[in-house]
Order: sequence, then C-alpha cells, then structure tokens
Amino acid sequence: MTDTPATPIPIEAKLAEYGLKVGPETLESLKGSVADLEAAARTIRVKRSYLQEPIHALRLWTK
Amino acid sequence: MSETISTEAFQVLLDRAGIRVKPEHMEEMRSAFMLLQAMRERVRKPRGYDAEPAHIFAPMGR
Amino acid sequence: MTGDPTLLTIREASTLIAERKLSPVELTKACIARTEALDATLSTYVAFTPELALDAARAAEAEIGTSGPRGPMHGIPVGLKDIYDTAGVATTAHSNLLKSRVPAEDAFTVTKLRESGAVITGKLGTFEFAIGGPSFDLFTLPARNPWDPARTTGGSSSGSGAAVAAGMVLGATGSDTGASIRSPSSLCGLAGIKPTYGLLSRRGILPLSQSLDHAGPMCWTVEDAALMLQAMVGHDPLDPACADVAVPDFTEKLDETVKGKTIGVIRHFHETDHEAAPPVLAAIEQAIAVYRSLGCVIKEVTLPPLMDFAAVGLIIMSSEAFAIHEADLRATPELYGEIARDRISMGGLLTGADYVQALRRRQELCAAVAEAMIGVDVLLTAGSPFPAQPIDNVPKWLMYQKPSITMPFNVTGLPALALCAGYEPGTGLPVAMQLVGHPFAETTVFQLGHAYEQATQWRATRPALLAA
Repeated sequence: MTDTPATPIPIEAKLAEYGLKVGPETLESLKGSVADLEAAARTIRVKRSYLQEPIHALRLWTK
Repeated sequence: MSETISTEAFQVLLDRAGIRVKPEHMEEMRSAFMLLQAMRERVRKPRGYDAEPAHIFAPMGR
Repeated sequence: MTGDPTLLTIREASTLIAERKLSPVELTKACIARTEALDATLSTYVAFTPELALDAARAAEAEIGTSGPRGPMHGIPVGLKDIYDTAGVATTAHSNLLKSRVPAEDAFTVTKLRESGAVITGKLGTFEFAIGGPSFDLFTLPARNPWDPARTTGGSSSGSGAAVAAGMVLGATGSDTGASIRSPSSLCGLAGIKPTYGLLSRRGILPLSQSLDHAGPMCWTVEDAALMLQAMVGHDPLDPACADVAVPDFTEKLDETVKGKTIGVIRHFHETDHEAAPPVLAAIEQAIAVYRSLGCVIKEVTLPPLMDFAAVGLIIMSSEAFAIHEADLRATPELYGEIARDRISMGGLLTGADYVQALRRRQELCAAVAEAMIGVDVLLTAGSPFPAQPIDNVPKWLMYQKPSITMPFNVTGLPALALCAGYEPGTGLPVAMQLVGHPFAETTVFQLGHAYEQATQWRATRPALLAA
C-alpha cells in the first residue's frame, strides 16, 4: 500500500465531498493547486516517534 | 452535509485517505460513517470570526 | 499477618508494612499466586514479570527494614497498562504492530511509581492502542471480567480493571481518552480517576489522541486511588500539556465532613441523553440519598446535550489517532486487529475543517460547563450506562450509536472519578457513578467519593471467583 491512492481521485469528486462548486474556468488552475497541496502533504508525512507531540494542547491552568 | 453517502462517494473518501477496507466490512464502515456525518454537522454552527479553538499554541517559556 | 493479603487495600497494606506486620515479599508472592491461579481464566497480563517483581519486593523489604518506608506505595504490587513504556520490558499496546518493541526508557509516571517504591508486576492487557477491543485477533486474548468471566471488563484499560478486581495487584495504571479508566473501573467495581488534563505527564505513554489522553490510577477504593495518584504526579516539562501547578496532598480532605458540599446532578445525561439501565438509575438515586443524608446540597445541573460532547470527542479523537497511525495503517493494515484498524481508519475520512470546528465547539463546551459549575463542588452522573455486557457481543460502533457518558470530561479536561455504586440485583455485576470536579480540584472529588464509600458497604464485596 502506498501513500498515493491506486486510482487518482477526480477533482470533481473531491469538490463534491466538500460541498463546493467551481466554474469550468477555475477548474484547471484548481487542479494545479491540488497537486501542490498533495505534494506539500507528502513532505509532512514522515516517520515520527510516538513520543512526538503536536504543538497545541488544551490548557486549564494559568501561570 | 448529507447524512447518507453512496458507495461510490464513500470509496472516494477511502481512496483519499489511502485506506483499504475488506469487502466484508465495507457496508458496516459506510453505515458508521453516516453516524459520523451527523456528528460533523453537530460541531458546526454559525460562529463569529473571533470563535477560537480550545487549543492554543503555548510559546517557549510558557 | 493472617488472612489473604491480596484483599487488603493499599492503605491497609502500607500500614501493616510500616508496622513490620506484612512483608512486601509475602504480599508480592500472594499476588503472584493469585495471578497464577486466575490468569488462565481472566487473560489479564500481556507480559507477567514475577521475577522482576520479587526482586523489587526484596529490595523494598530490605530498605524498609533499615530506614522505613518511603511512603504508602513502598512495597505495594501494581500493574501497568501495556501502553506505559518500561525500560527493557516490551511495551506493545497489545498490538502485533509493536509486538517486539522494547523501550529504552520508562514513562515519566512509571519512573515516579518506581521512585515511590511500588513493586511492578508486569504489563496488563489493553484494547489495542487503547481503542480496539475486546479483540480476539491479537497475540493474546482480551481480559475478562472477574465478576463474570463471560463478560467484558470494559475498556480500554481492560487488564488493569480485571487485575485489580481479582486481587492480582492492589493498583494499576490506566489511561483515558474517552472512557478508558472509568469504563473498566465502572464495570469491574473499582475506583478509578481520570485526573485533570495536564496533572499527570503522558510522556512515554503510547498516544491515542494527544489532546484527550489522560493517565491515571485504578484501585479498589477511592483512598487508594488518591494514594496512587500522589505517587504518579509531578511536573514534566517534556510533556507540553503537563501543568506546572502546586500539588496538594490528595488525601488531606478525606476525613473532613462533606456537610454543606453542593452536588450538581446531570440528570439529562443518564436519564435521557443516554438512558441508563434500571439498576444504574436506581443506584444513582440511592447515592443521591446517601449524599443528602450526609448533609450535602443536591441540585440539578443542565449541560449541553451529551451528543455534543460525544461528537466533539469522537472527531478530535479520530483525527488525532489517524494522524498517529496513518503511515502504518497504509503500509501494514494487516498488523492491526480488526476493531482498532476500522475505528482508527474512520479518522482518515474527516477533514481538517471538521477537526477545527470540533476544537471551536470544544471551547464553547468548556465555557458552558464552567458556567454550570459555579456554586457546585462536584457534578454527578452515571459511570457507565449499563453493567458489563457479554464479551462476545460488544458493539463495534457503540460510540457512534450512543453518546459516551464519560467523554464530556475528556473534552473539558475536568477530573472525573468512577466509583462503585452497588451491584445489579440477580447478576451481582457492579454499577457505578462518576463524580466530576473543578480543574485541579482532585482533593474535593476524592473527599466526596471517600465519604460515599464510608457510608456504604459496597467495598466489602469481592468477586465470587476469588472464593472459589
């Protein structure tokens, strides 16, 4: 199994999933942006230790 | 956000996440996801731009 | 001493140890013998380490003999949920994925427990990665309930619940992301506390969902939970969520009167939002009557719908869990058991916006609960809406179908104690309530829990299995 889906997901399907609509004139540029975002997402998917925490935490105290 | 989802649309979500589901679990997962759809709806409501999330970034030396 | 030392509370055992009337080695051997007699039935341990336990018990005995006990946990056998890292001893999260993982360091709380002189007996079974279970497709079987081995312990701290109820240990560590200390404590008849978020370090505990994960103790009595929590607490600057706050003596108010304390009953949680079974409802009414007789003020509190908390908790938990597991779920899904794999996979179907909307709703819910708690010392609701179910018939998607009655206090981070409130007529299965305090007000929660235990007889009953 790889990081990339076996079948490329049509951008129309993704837009429908989010309930978004775009005109045909923006569809091509959107395809480029989606490819950039997917490339960016791949760069943050690296092997991490279970010890690695996210930067945000719930805080119930004040200092 | 619809609380129902077609088999095809559900497959799109699985593909997007890179998840393979055993065929015998597919319908059960899709049914569970429909319950999750209701919860996705439930956490949404009209909010002002000042509505912050509960988590804050604690800077160094906090 | 005469009698069975495995049936002592931590308080009783530590008093006898301090008076040199009970040897830590004798106590540890009794716990080992109990484990050897019952573990085939209850499947509590993933890794039982009796030799290491006896070494620690002998060391404790020698030190106590020369310089007295370090504190009440010195020489007390405790088990660790198998998501707490232990240096040199495998920590697997009960998953084939991590079956051969041996950490180099102890979790922060394990270090603290060792410093207290506690005798660690081994690693207890858990729902896989604290979410998937009860599962029959892992490398050992799921823990069974000592009150009826045909039933589940609840989870995810399943081995911890079974081991304490069966007298294999006097206390155990658990972790709680949505229910995982309080569910098994409720179904196994224990006192277990999910402390305030940030009170205990989570460093070295395998995560399920970092912003909802809490560590905590599970014991036979409320007083024991206070003693064990004391041994686990301490500021850890390497856990970004760990709070740098003054730590009180959690037992300091145990013997103070509760007269005049105000208890806010969240009736809609257990009566309508997730309608509890009749014996649970009856037990809660009886508990309210007990508190009234002790001079407490009872008032009804209304919070946002339970489903709102459940939705926020489930979306945050699923999103954070998927982020932790996505690489392994894609590469080696076959190494996960079915329940953990399917539950964690759901998080991959959510969006970033879902997660942030849940965080925004979380903020609103925290504010709503804080406002409702003005003038209230503790909140009260059910610990579990039902007694233990048959182990082979636990619904995989229950958290999706019915809102969790414990999740609100992971979402808000408030300290929540589950304690035994009686037994179901006929089956004898434990039923339980929750007491919920203000942030870092564990002492008040323990005070009210202890007062209830002292006013009732539930702690005198142990599972019939122990008499067999």
